[in-house]
Amino acid sequence: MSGTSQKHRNFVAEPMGDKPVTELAGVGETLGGRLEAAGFDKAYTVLGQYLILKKDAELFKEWMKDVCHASSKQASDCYQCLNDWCEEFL
Amino acid sequence: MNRTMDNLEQLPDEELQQRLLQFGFPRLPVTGTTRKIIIKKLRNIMNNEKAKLRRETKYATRYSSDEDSSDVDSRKKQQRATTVGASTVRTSSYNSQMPPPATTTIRRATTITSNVGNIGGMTSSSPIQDSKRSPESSRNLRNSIYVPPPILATDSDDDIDYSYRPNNSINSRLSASPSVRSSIRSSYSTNANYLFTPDKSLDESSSSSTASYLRNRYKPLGQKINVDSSPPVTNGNHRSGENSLYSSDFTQRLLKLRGDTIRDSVYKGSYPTPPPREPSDVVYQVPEPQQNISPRAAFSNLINRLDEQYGVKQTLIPCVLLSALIVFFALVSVMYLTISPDLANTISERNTFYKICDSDVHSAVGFSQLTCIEQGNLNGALELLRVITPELQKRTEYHKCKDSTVPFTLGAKEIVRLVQASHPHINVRQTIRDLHNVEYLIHQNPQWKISPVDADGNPLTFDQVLALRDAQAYSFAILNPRLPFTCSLYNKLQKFFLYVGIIGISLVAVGGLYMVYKLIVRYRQSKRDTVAYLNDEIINNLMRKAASNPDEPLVVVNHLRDKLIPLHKRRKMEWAWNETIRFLQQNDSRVQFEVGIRNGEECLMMKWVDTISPEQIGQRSPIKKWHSPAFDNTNKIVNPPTPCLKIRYMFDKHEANNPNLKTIIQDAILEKVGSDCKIYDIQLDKVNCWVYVRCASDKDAGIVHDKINGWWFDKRLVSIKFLRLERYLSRFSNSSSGPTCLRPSNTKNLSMSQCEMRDANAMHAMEDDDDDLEDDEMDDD
Repeated sequence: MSGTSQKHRNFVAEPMGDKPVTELAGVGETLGGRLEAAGFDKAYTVLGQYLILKKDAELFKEWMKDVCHASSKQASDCYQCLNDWCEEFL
Repeated sequence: MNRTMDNLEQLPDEELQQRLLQFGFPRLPVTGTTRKIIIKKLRNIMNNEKAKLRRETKYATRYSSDEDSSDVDSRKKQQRATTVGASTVRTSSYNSQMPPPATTTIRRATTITSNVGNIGGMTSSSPIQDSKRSPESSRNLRNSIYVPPPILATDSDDDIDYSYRPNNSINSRLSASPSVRSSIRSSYSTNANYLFTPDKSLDESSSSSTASYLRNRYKPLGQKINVDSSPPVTNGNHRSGENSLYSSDFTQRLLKLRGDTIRDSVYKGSYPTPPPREPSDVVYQVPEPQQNISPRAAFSNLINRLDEQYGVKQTLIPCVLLSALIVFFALVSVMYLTISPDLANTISERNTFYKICDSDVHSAVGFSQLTCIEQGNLNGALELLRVITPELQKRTEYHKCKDSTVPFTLGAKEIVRLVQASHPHINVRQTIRDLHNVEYLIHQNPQWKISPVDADGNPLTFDQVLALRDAQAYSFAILNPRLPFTCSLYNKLQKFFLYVGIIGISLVAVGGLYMVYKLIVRYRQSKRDTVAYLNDEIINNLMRKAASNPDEPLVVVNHLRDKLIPLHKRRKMEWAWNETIRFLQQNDSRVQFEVGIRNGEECLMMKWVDTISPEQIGQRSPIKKWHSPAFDNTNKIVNPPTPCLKIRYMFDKHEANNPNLKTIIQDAILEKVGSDCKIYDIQLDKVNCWVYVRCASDKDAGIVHDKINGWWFDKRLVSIKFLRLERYLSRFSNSSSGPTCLRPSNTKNLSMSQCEMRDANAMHAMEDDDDDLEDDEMDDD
C-alpha cells in the first residue's frame, strides 16, 4: 500500500456524477459486469450500498466479495475509494 | 448446526436487524441487497460464539469464582432487561430517541402475549416492513419455541464487536483494560435497572411464573452464586411449571450465559445515549455486592474444594467427635495425674479393717489397744487419722519435691502438739488414747500406706511401736507416697539431667584431655621438625661450604644462624638453634666444632669433615635425586587442563635396563609431590625416556606439575607436558585408574635432597664395605 492508484485519485478528485461502476477503484471490466448484473450499474448505487452498510469496512468488503466475487484487494480498493470520496464530497 | 438451528434465512428483515443490534452492530437497514450479507455475518458470529462457548463451558462447569458469577449475573440481568425492556419501551414510547436495545424473542412472545400484540402493532408501523412478515412471524411463533433467546442473546465475539464499532468511544475504551470493561458493564447493569421495571410491566402483562422467574433473576447479586452453581436445578424449578420441553433449551441457555463477558459492554455501546455516569460511581457499584458475597462464597468454595479433595464433609463430624473424645480423656488423665492425692477423705469407717473389742474382757485388763479397738474410740481414732494424713502427705511432698532437709515423718509428740493446737478442747489423755488406737488401725490397714517409723526413718513393726510407745519416740511416715505429677516429673527430670550432665561433663573432660594431648604431641612434633629442618640446613650449608671452598670449610656458627633464621624469627627460634647445635656437637661426628678467631673475635665455628662432597655422592648414587628448582615460582600452572602428564628427562637411555628404574622413578615422583597428591598410575616409556603419570584429577596433575616441572633431577632438567586422558589410555590401556593411589615403596624419602646426608653416609660406608651397599639396594627395592 505504497500509495493510491491513478484510478482512485481520478475518482476521488471530482463528484462522481453518473460515472459507471467501472470507474471505481478496484472494479474492472469483470467486476463491473457482475455488479451491473446484480443491478449496480452506476457508481452511485455502489455508494448507496456503501452508505446503507453505514460505511462499515468489513461489511462492505464482504458484500463486494459476495455480489461480484471481488478479491480482498479489489474490495479493499473499492472501499477505500468510496471512503475517500465521501470524506471529500459527502 | 447453524443450518438446522437457526432460521436466519426465513427471518424477517426486522428480526435480522434486531439480531444484529443484539450483537452490537449498528442498526443496519436490511434490504434486498444487504440481507444476504447480514445473514452471513450473523451466522459467522454465531459460529464463533458457539465455539467459544463450547470451550468455556468446560471451564464454567467447574467452580465459579466470584468474578465469573458476577459476570454471569450481570449478563443475565442485562439480557432480561433488554428483552423486556424492549417491549416496555416499544409499548410506551416507541418513537423515543433510544432505540430498542434488543430483540423481543419469540418465546417471550408466546408467554407474554400482550407483548406480542404490542410488537405486532409496532412492527406494522415499521418503515421497513417486509411483505412476508405476518406469515413469517406466525410461523415463528410456532417454530421459534426451539430458538431459545440466549442463542440470540449470547452469540457475539469480542473481536468482531470491536471491529464493528470503530467509532464508538466506549468500545475503544473497552479494549483498554479489564477494569474499564467491568466498569462499563456495571454501569450498564445499573442502566438496565433503570430502563427496566420488571414488576410493573410483568404484573400487568405476563404470567405469574415468568414474573417470579424474572424477579428471581433480579434478586440481589449476592444470592446469584447459588443459582449459578446449579443451573439445571434452578432451571427445572422455574420452568417445569410452564413446559418441561423447554428445560433442555434452558440448560443450554444457562450454559451459554456463562460464556463471554464482553457482550454486556458491547450492548452498552449500542445505546446512543447512555446515561452519563462517572467511572468512579460505576466502579463503586460493582465491588459492593461482591464484597458482600466474597467471605461466604470464599468459605463455601474452600469447603467444596476440600470436600472434593479429601472428602472433608463426610469425615468432618467423626473426626471432630473423635478428637473431642481424645481431648476429654487427655484432660481427665492430666487432671488425675496432677491432683495430689487426698488421703484424708479416703479414710472412713467403712473401708477400715478393725476388730471391736469385747468390752468385758479387755476393759478390765486395760490393755485394749493391742489387738482390738473399742467401739467408742473408733471415731476418735479416725478423726485423728484425718488430721494426721494430710499433714503427712504435705510433709512428704515438701520433702520430696522442695526441700529434702525437712523431715517427712510425723512424730508422736508432734501429733499431740498438732492436735492440741488445732483442737484445744480435746485433752491430752484423750489424744494419746486416740493415738494408740491409730497405731493399731495403721497396723491393721496397710492400704493407707502409712507406716510407723523410728527417728531415722526405718520402718517399725507393730511390736516395736508398742515398745516405743511409752517414750513416744516413734513417728509416722508415708514411705511410698504417690506424688503429684508435676513433682514426680520434676524429680525424674532432675535425675535425668543429673545423669546427662555427669556424662556430658565427663565427656567434655575426656575430650579436653585428648585435645591437650594432641596439642602437646603437635607441639613436640613441630619442635622436632624445626630442629630437623635446621639440622638439614646447617649440614647443607656446611657441605656446600666444604665443597666450594675445601681449604676454608669453617663456618661461624652465629653467622650461619643469622643466615638461616630470618631476623624476626631469631629470638623465637633461638631454642631450636641451640638444640640443633647441641645435637650436632654431641651426635654428629662429621661436623666438627672448634673455637677460632675470626675478625679478631673468638667465636664458635664448625666445618664439614666428611671426606666425600655432595657432588661425588650425586655421581655415584644409584638413587636419583631432586636437586633444586631451576626457576622461581612463576612456573606454576593455574588451571591444569588434564589429569595426565608426560614427564621428560627423568632418566637416560642407558638406565633403561635398570630393573629398578620404575620403582626409583615412581618413588622419586611420589616423594617429591607429597602424600596429598593422588597419583593413580605411573608408566615409563623406555624408548623415548618419558614418564607418564596419571593423576586422580586435574588438580593433582597441577600439583605434580608445580612440584616437578623445572626441577633438576639427577642432573637433568625435568620438563612436563600435559597429556589428554584418551591419549594416555590409548597408550596404556590396562593402567590402573584408581581409586587406590600409588604410595612410595619406602618411607626413606631417598630422592629428596635433604636426605643426601643420610644417603651420603651410606655411600661412605659403602666404600668401606661392599656388603652395606647390598643392604641398601635391598632396602630400595
